[in-house]
Amino acid sequence: MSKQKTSIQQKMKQLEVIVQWFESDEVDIDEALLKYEEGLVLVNELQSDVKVAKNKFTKLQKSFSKDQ
Amino acid sequence: MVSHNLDLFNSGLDDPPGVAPIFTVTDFVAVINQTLSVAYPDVIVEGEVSSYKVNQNKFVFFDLKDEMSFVGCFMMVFNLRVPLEDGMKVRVKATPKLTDKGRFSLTIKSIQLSGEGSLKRAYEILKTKLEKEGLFASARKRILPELPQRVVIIASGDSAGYGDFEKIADERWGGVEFDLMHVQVQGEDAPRQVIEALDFANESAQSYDVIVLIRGGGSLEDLAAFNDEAVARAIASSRIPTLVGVGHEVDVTLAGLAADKRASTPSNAAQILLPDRREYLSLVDGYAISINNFVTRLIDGRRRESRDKLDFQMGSLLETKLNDISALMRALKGYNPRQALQRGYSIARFAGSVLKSGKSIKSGDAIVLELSDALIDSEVKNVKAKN
Repeated sequence: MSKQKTSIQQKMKQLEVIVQWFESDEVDIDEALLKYEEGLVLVNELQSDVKVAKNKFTKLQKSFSKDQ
Repeated sequence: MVSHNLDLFNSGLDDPPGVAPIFTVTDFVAVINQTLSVAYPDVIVEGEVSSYKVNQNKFVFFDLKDEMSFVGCFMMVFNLRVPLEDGMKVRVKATPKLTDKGRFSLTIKSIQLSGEGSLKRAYEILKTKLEKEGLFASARKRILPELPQRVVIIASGDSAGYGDFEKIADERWGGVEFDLMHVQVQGEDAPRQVIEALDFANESAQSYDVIVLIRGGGSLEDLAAFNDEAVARAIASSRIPTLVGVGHEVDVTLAGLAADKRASTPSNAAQILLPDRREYLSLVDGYAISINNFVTRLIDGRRRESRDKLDFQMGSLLETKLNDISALMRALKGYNPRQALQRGYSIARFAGSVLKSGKSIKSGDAIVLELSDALIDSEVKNVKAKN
C-alpha cells in the first residue's frame, strides 16, 4: 500500500516532466510519440491509483492507561 | 511502634476514666496521623488559593480557603502541573496530616484547576510564558509532507472527533496507513497518556511521517489536557512533525500553538493532512489534455509541412508515424478533447486550424465552433483582447 503511495507522487513527477517536455520549443516527432505513450500510461495508472487506493486504520494494541 | 500506640488508643477508649492512656506528644501526633490516614487516605477538597508561595524552587505552600475556613497546603514543585495564583479556584487531591509542629495541613498529590476563571487565567499565564520561550514561533514550524504514507493518530478511539477525522480522510484520499494510539483525552491522567503516546510514536521503529493529535470540542475544563504545559512541550519537541486538531474553531489550545500545524477541528485536520482526490484527478486530467493538444498540433503541423514539400517518401514515413499516434490517441479514452466537449467546452476553428489566439482573426472572419454534437458556422462580429 505504502509503496503505491510513493509511486503516485513519482508518477505525478514523471507526468509533469513530460508536460514540460512538450512545452519546450524543439519537439522531435519520434520522441513525441514515445513521450505521448509514456504520458498516457502514467495518466491511466494515476487515475486508477488515486481512485482505488483505500486508507488503512489500525488501532495499536499498546495501552497508555496506567493500569496496564 | 505506631501500631502499638494505636492499640493503646483504641483500648483506652473503653477504659474507665483515670486509666486513659498517656501519650508522649510524638506518639500522639503519630496516632492522629495514623487515624487520619485510615479514615481519609485521599481527600478531594475544592477551594480558593491564597498566600501562594514557592520556597527554594522545591516546595509549594498555600492556603485553601472558602468564606468560612482555610486550611494550609503543601506540595512538591514537580507535582504542580498548572500555574497557580492567589484567587484561583482549585480542586486538590491530598492526604491530611498533622505536622511535628502541630500544624494541620494537606499534603497535595495532584491539583486541578476548577472553574472557567481559573482555567482562563492559567491558560493566559502559560501562553505568555511559552510564547516568551519561543515555543510557538513560526520559525520552528515544519512543513507537513504533501502526501503522507504513515500517520499516527493520538486520540480517543471512541470519540466523535476521531470518527469525523476518519470519515473526511477517506473522502479525500486513500492509501495512507493510520495507526491509532488510543488515549484518554480528558481527565487527570490524560496529559500523561498523551505525552507517553507522543514519545512512543517518536521512538517507534515505524517511520511515521506525521503525528496527528485530535479531540472534539468541549469546555475549557474538558480541553485541559491540551492546555497542559508538559503536553505543549512534548508536542514542540516531537521529532516527527505534528498536526493538532482539538476542539471547535474558537478553541486555540496551547497544544495547537506548539504544533507544526494547527487545525481548527478534527475534520479540518484531515483536510490539512490530505489532498483532495478530485482536485488531484482534475490536475491529472489537465495534464492529459495538454499533452493531447501538443500532439494534435504537432500532427497538424507535420501534415501541412509534408504536403507543402511534396516529399512523398518523407510524407509516407511520417504518415505511418502519424497513424501510430492516431491509434494511441484512440486508445486514450476519455482524455481527448471530445471529453472536454462533453463537459461544455467548444473548439473554435479558423481556416481549418484551431483558434488559440484572437490575434489570428478579425471581424468578418468565418469560424467554425465544434460542440460535442454539432458544428456551428459562425461569423466573427468583434475581437476584444482579454486583460
